[in-house]
Amino acid sequence: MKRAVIILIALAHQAHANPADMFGFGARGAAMGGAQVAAANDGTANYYNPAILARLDTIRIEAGYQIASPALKVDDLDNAVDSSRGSVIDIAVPGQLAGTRFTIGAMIFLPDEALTRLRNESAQKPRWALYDNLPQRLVFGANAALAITDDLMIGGGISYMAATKGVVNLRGLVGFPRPELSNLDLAIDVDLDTIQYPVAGVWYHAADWLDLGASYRGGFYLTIDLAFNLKGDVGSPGQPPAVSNGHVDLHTVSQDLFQPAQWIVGFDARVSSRAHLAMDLGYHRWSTFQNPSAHIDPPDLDLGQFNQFINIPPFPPLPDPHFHDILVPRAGFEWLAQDDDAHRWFARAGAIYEPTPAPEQTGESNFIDNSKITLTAGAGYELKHGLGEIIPRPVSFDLSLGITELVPREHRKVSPVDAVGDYRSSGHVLEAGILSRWQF
Amino acid sequence: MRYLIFLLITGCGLDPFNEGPGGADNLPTLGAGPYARFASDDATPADEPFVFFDRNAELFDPTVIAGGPGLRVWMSREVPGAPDDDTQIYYGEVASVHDVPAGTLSLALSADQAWEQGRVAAPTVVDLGGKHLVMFYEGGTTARAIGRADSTDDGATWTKTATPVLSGAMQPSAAFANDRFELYVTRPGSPAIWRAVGPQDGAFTFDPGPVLEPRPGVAKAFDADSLDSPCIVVHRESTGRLHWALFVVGYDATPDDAGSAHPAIGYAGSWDGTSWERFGGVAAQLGAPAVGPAALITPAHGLLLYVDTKRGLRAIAAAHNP
Repeated sequence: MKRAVIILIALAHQAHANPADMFGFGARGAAMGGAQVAAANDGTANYYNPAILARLDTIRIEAGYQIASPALKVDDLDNAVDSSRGSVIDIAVPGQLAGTRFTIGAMIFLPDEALTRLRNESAQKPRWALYDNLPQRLVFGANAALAITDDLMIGGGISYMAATKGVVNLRGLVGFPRPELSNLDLAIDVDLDTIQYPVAGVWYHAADWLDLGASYRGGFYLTIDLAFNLKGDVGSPGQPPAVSNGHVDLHTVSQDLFQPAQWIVGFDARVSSRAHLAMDLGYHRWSTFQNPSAHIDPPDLDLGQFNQFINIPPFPPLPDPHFHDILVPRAGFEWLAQDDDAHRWFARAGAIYEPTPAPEQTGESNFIDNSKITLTAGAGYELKHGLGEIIPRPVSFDLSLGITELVPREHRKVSPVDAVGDYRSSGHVLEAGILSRWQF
Repeated sequence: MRYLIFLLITGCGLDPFNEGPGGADNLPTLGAGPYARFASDDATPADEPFVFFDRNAELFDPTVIAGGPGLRVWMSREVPGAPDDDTQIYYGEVASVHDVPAGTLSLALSADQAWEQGRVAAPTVVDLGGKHLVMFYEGGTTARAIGRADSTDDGATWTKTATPVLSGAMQPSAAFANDRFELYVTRPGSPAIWRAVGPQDGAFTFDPGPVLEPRPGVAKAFDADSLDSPCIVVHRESTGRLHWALFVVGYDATPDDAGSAHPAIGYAGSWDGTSWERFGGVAAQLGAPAVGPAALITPAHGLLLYVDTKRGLRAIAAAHNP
């Protein structure tokens, strides 16, 4: 039984929002605070604004690595929230369609700790609602972009995620009164069905010094539908069982990996011959966030003579988390520090303010989140002529660093018998990324 | 697609059986419950859930504070068969509930005042800081009252106040909050928990009514018949406000020799020490048999000492939350 429960917990244990939403996609964008809806200039446009893909006139392949290491604390004690790290890969292939510039692209964030984490928790158990699982998932998208005119591009695509439905089956003998004598056969049967959400964007070259962009990323959530079926005898090996052919069937449904729908608008202004200033404003629809806690159906069980000792109360309704929509401003700056015949050096910086969508946790639920201030910086180095005859087009290497400070906040409970009580949440997240960009 | 997720997980070198930390460390708790008795662990020198056991005496009515090697515990000690006026207060230290006590129990307070009638018991200790400890205790056999003793050397020696600070009260549990002492006690002939408030030096005054009463009309209430053995814990939350946690023993029936009552430990909380709310509905937070609670609540854990029977003698055991 213990083994089975562990399996159930493990399968139902881990899941997150979107690591790119939280920490950026690619080192250039991350260094510029993610203000890229108008300023992306490479394959990372797959994430920031697929319309920009139509601007690209060479094949782009980019690969890098990102890591975010949180130190999130409640009452000044670290909660050991997992880091998020993984590989970033994107590609863009330009071409022509009916005489119009047409580009297809794809992107992936491949976490190297878990492809996706799913976690069922009770509503009362404190958890970092945005950092717990959101940065721990695979992000994959495929896009296409079209140049309507030389100055106007549109693009869109589909990103993918998976819904999980599974059953854990255990059959055999449950040791009683000594559970260590249990002898159970285990079978796990899990389906992974894909779900999709749309992305779309538009980009407009408004003036020689100004580009405008807008994008939309659809929202989604992951449904975790898990069942646990135990069937067999209860007793000691070699003895007549205390219960013959007993069974316990448990079914739980929860949500995880919520991603809010996002509308982003922004501009990229060339404020001098060497400097870009980009700003984005995102509207994130967190008000549709549902309580992700597990809802457990009344178990179907038959344990013979022990039935009279089992009284499982009905599962209470999950409290509404009451998240609200937020506006997220981002600003990024890029400065061409050096430009000669063979090399170009860039310096970048950015800032983000992300107000928390979570209300103060005064009731039973404990979805912890704080407003966040992020400062980023980075550098880029470009070999203008690539690597000689093998790769004659420019090759770039980018580095980004960032720190997100969580503005401390207090949660004061209404009930004096709340199991958790008042608490104060705070912390920071360190982020770093590298990206190599190749043109063919 | 079937089995895909499992294959993906294992294919990445991940262990699906490993829960990992994942943000679950140091989660806050008020220590409300439910509590679970520590399970016996052959790998430790302790005999969990028991923490203090004396093969020659009954140990009961513990009080605990953090300090020393880990836990500092004062308790009532009584030699079996001795008359009721033989109970004295003893002191012990232990690093944790998984260790054996450091040394033997030592006598902390004995009866030497006339009003104590040869009996001192049910200690409760408040640490005021600067090695100043204040102990309130129960004395007397026919006329029970609450006495006070102070130690300015961190418990090495105690100086008693000559007269009781509160008469007609038993089983004290003390807290120092808002620059005053609060005593939570039981009173002869009352099935409820009462509070008395007093200044730093002086006599105590009972509140007009009890702070917690039994629930005779509530079906399946663990405390349908009576309450006793209060344990109060007042601590300052990280938000700055005070919180009162009151552990009590509830009886579902009148205690008798036939064992028809099932004493268990419940919990109530308050933001002001006046308005109280029970936790867990009708259920106890540590199931029967459990009496004599003494709680130690840290930001992420609740430790509850209680009294259970080992080899026919009362001893001090421990439970935990979460």
